[in-house]
Amino acid sequence: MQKYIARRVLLFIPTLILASILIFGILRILPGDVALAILGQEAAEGGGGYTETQIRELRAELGLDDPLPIQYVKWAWSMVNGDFGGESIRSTEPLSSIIARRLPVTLQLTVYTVLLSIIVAVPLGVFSALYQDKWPDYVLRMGAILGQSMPNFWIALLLLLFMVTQIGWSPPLGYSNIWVDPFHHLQIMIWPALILAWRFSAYMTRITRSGMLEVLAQDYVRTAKAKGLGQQLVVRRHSLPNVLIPVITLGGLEVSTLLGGTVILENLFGIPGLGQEIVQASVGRDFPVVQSLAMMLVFFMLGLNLVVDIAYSYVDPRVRYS
Amino acid sequence: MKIRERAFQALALLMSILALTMALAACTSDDEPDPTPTSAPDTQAPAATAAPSDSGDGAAPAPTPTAMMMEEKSRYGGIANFSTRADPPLGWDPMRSGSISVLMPAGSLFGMGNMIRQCPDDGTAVCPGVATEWSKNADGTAWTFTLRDNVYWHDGVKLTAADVKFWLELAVFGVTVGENSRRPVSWNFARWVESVEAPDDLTVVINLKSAVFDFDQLLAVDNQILAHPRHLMQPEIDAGNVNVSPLDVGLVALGPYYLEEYRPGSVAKMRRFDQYYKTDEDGNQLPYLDGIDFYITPDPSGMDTAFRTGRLDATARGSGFQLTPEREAAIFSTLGPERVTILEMAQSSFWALAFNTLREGPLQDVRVRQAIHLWLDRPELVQVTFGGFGKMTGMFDPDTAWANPGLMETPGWNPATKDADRQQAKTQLAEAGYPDGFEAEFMCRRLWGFVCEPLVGQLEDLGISIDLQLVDDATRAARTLEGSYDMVMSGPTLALPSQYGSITSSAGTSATADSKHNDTKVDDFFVRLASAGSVEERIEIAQEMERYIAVEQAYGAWLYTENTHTVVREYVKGIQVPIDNYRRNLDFATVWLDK
Repeated sequence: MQKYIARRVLLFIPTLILASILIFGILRILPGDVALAILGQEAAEGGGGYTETQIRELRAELGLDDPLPIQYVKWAWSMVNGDFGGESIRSTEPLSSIIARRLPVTLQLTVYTVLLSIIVAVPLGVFSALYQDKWPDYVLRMGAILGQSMPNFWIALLLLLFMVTQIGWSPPLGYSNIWVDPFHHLQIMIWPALILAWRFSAYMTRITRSGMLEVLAQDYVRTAKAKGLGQQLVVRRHSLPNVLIPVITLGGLEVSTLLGGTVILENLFGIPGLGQEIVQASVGRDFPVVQSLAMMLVFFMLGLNLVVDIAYSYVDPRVRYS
Repeated sequence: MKIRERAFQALALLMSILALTMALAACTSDDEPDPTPTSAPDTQAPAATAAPSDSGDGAAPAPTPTAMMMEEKSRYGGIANFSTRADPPLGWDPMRSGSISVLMPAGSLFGMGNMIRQCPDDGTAVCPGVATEWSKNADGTAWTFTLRDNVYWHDGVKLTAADVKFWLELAVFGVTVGENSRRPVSWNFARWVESVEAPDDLTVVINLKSAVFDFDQLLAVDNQILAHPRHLMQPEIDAGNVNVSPLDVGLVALGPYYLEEYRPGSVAKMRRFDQYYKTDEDGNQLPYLDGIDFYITPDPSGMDTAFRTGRLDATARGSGFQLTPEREAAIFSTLGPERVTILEMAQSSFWALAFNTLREGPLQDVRVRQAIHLWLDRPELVQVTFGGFGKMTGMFDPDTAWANPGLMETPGWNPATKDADRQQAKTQLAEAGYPDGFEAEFMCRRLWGFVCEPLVGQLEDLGISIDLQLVDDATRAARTLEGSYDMVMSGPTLALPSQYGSITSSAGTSATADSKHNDTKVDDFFVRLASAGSVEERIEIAQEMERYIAVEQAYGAWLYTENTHTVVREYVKGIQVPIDNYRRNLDFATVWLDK
């Protein structure tokens, strides 16, 4: 087991380095000089002209004078030593401080989504399988397909419009911590969490349903039924544990995409998480923020994959021997 | 059996991790304000009840704010909920950012302008700020300002001339400590300043490199805000933190409200500063409100929703946030027109199609440039581009004294003569040797695609085959330096002659100018403007310049300005609307809630 975990951790590191090179490289091959972009934007928006000296000074200030490998090493080292890429060009705030403030908010939204999804998706998946090809199954499958096919931001806009026009209400403004004002906090967070959970639970419902159908057709289930066990007991004790293996694996992998999915919804609902910061940084060409936050998201995605792999190997010992 | 048990254990483990993450997240994302909250002092400063209102100016009469909605009796109290589009960038530092994201909340915190400011109802006039009087010497090379004796920073420290000197020197010269340097600002007045003196606590003298007779106009621009407390910043600078920002020192400022709490990405809460130095016309202490909560709403849809349900009392200013006709109609449909007040403000930047006459081609011929000026149908462009929220302009706002009287009724602008103008445009194009038109590269900032595309349609109707090139800011800046385009969409052709530094950058002969030519007569106008001794003389020069650049030489086709629409609820009274420039900051000192 330890050998398997060590191997997976060793694989994790080169993947992370490769991803960091890609993120760094992509931002550097974007057309245009960042210093010119910043000064040009100021000039275009009424900030007056600029001189060659100002361009040179800004390049030096941003560290753009260094050769690319040096720039990369400096950035990579700052990601490791806790500086997370220095500071934001736009706000001048250290990235470590931005991440410390915003990451927990995004994680909270992700956790709410996952909890809501698990609570809803597993029972619905089982229910759908038990009523295969009957109307409850059709209704649930339709709901799942809708959840997977409709874009989050569109659902969010429709939801907001519905609330405004039909009940004259909208989520409150100004994010609050759950421990400071739980009711206010939930009024803001519940809507994006529900929207994200619809998509996420749709996916998990379908996995649960197909897994349950497969398990219900197994000989040992038929045997359990034949010896007189009730359906509830057959499902709960004999079927569901086996269904949960793929649900954990695939669901765990899907959690990583949730982190990316929060970007637009955080902006729309005014939630001060990483997603909102990435949008604002992208618009303002704040490349240290974009590259460091993108790297953070990659780190979390790879980390989740690692955790899922290890959890899977724990659940199914065959994995670590293969 | 073993597998099932392990599945349950793994699920439990996963749930535990998630729960732990949530708990950790909630613990670490405390609602602590970013800077240390400042509070209004109780005793250190006396209440400014005796301060004069916007009067006592030795240089310009204080205007009656016509745009103020003061017809009813104002009353104290209440917290207003306003929207702002983003966190103020660069540490809320007006020296480093002119973004509307700074300007929207900054006025209430920092106050308006500096020693002097633009008048609320007329941006071309100068009103008192923290100074009550100002004067120039005979040759226009030294300006003396007398400060009010009752101005306090939010932490109770009294403002002195040394504070203003510190602020001016920081802006004009920057600062260097060891290897760390802070760049000077690019404000227009800064280029003229040679030195600053503070002979006593209430007197500031600014010595200029050469005579500038309208220096007060250059200095009075509202966005040049005195927001840098010497007593808090100097120690930081001495320690090497040369780029210290107002946010770094807790946003201690001079405005009508102090910062109670700032949660980045969420809300900035301002509360009444009892020692604010201004009173209203009746001598009542300003501000009227107990406070303002500026909610950061980065998405316009989310902002509109909150306004429609009463969570916001006013919408934000800035690109994408000013209302479109469709969004305005949606708000009306929910609230009804009687529950909403529309604030209509002109953009500070006037759109122009700038020509490159240094590149070989048809645009070197003045007849071709004039033909384009004559051909373009501005009212139609305003309708298509801004849904009608705009108006035609020359180089200056036609509703100000600086514009040539009747210019909007002359060929090119006048809708009534458009058919004849277009016939003339065809004739001139033929006379120039291009009866069938020509090809041209049209560079346009990508964000301005919606502005450029309708123009392309009209230019192609004239027979000009346009290669529209939408580019990012970096490419635009680089190509502007190279001059590698035939025409370019130009935004910042500012309205006021006092901002000729910016006009120089877009219409003069500098390398960063959008219009490309070698006509030094254009630059001479700016020199003459700076050395003109009176407002009347400057107006005369401005009008001559407008006729020369926009009509005779047609180095650009001046088009229109966008009027921005922001909405407030009907019970929000007393907003001093900057009708001539939506980018000017507002201090909301006179705002009150009628509910």
